[in-house]
Amino acid sequence: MIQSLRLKAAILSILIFLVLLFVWQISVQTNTQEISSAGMDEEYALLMGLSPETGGSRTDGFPAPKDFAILAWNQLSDPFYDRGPNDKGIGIQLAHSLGRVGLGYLIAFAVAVPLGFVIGMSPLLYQALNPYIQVLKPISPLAWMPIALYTIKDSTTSAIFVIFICSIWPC
Amino acid sequence: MSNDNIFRPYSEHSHLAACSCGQHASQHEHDQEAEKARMLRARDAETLSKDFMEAAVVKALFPEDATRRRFLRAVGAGTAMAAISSILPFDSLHAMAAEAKGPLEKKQLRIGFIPINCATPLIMADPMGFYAEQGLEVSLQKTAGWALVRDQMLNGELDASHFLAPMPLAISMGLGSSAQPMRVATIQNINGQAITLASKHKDNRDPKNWKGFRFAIPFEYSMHNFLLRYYLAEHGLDPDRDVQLRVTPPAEMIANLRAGNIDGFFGPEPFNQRAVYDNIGFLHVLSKDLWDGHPCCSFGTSEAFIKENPNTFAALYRAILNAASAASVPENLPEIAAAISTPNYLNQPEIVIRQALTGRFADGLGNVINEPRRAGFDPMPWYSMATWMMTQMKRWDYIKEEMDFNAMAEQVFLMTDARRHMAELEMEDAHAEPTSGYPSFTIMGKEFDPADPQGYLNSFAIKRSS
Repeated sequence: MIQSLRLKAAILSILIFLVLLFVWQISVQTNTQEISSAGMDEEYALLMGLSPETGGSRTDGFPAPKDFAILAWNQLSDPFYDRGPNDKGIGIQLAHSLGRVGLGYLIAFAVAVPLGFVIGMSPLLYQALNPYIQVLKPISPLAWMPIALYTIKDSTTSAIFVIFICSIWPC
Repeated sequence: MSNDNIFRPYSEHSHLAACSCGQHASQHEHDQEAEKARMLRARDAETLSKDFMEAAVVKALFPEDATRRRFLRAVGAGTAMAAISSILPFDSLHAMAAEAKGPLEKKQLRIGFIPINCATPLIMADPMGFYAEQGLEVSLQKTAGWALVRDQMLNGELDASHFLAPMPLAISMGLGSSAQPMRVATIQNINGQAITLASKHKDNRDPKNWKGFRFAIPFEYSMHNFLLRYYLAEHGLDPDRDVQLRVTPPAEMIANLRAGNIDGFFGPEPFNQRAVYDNIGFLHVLSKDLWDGHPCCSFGTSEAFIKENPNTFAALYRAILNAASAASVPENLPEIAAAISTPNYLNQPEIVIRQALTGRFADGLGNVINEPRRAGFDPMPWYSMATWMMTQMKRWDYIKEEMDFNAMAEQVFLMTDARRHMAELEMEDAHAEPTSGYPSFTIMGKEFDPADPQGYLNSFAIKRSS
């Protein structure tokens, strides 16, 4: 019974995915324009990027699922290339992001866990610190960003600080 | 200043007048050991030049060596040092005297740029090896918008950057941010911008009918903003009341034009040409046709960076000037277009960048146009360019108080330095006329006389301030 429920759920998931892809494809098709070299002189067509090799036309606008898949494949098949500071593979970029998240979370962990024990064990500290926690907790993490940038003056450290500040409060 | 100065201007036993360098007279008085220690100090070129300058200054203060020695005996060497250094800015003098080939204070630099054609010299200097030639390791940081460039310069994340030419003026005056003295080392590019309109306005070319239009500009303190406002006002439209101007990062102008959020934009290349390439817009007018030779972007850094790193700054100056002169050779342009179109720099189709650089382009209306002056690279930071920008800032009420435009221009635009470095590199432009740095300009047929900015301001019918 559970087996067949899982199977049904999986099939339904795939169906939903296909429907979404279909909607994506349809909405793109109605919105893209075909740029064709018809009626242009030869040099003008070349300057518009319509060379005879590509059939003198190309489509433009929001990318279709197929274009997305090709680009995603290109990115994923070479995830660790490094061509200077402004062009790195998706693997390197992910590693940077995960590193920041890990570091910020680790610092929050080191601060919040001991502090949480102390607050939990001491009713005095609990009552004394509770108002501050309640006031600071609902501040959106992004709202800390300008303050962090202004005081820390380094975007990477600021990002780690923001991750730290959003992981530190109890839920 | 220190007591171990090898010329010993503070010693009552030395003879500064005996010889110009002061070294020989001391040999009779000091044993070989002391002499060696002193000479070791002189091996460092920088210390030697500092010591020499201090000695020269003290010698100038006391031309009679006997007087100097009497003075030192009377007040003591320490007091004399403190007194002299309090009235003479030795550190600045050292910075000014920094040799062209002095040791670099900082070799690894972070330089910001916005991915547009204007940044060509600054970008090209990397693959063409102009930075490396000067011993610099430059990491070019692609930045998402002008506000970010400003913030990263203010907080010191960037050592130097590509700016819009009016930005260093605005930051120095504290307009739109906290004030910090910024300097323009060179202009990056001249011309090379355009007004692009959405294709649906093909038959609506008369600005008089543009009431209610929405235009995108890259930044408030930009030539784009000032020239678009100037253009609209010359056609009788009040840019604050009759149209909407939206600050939009250049890369997002295309998406906004496609979506119909804006009717057009005054933008940098390659985005004007990109709108044509994407078949969503056409080039209404090139900025060259409003003011031929107008500055657009600049290369600059903070005054603090220049003071702390005079030799590095000089090396950077030479690299940028070399790159600008390489970029102004027309035969290099197709190659440059190919080099900067890659994902780590501009990330645009090469054909788009090439059209904007070479000036043979499709205009979006079916014509191929040949305009070699569409974009150019002329690094000279003329003072009167800054003066013009400030008249427009005053005109549109960005500058509220009365001020001396030309004094500010001479403070922020480092024209004298530019000429000195050009002369060192044996560039002809080093002696470009007028030597005063105040050429007058003609903008849409109207003369701008930098000697009379107030008169120029008064001559406009549409303006915010008086």
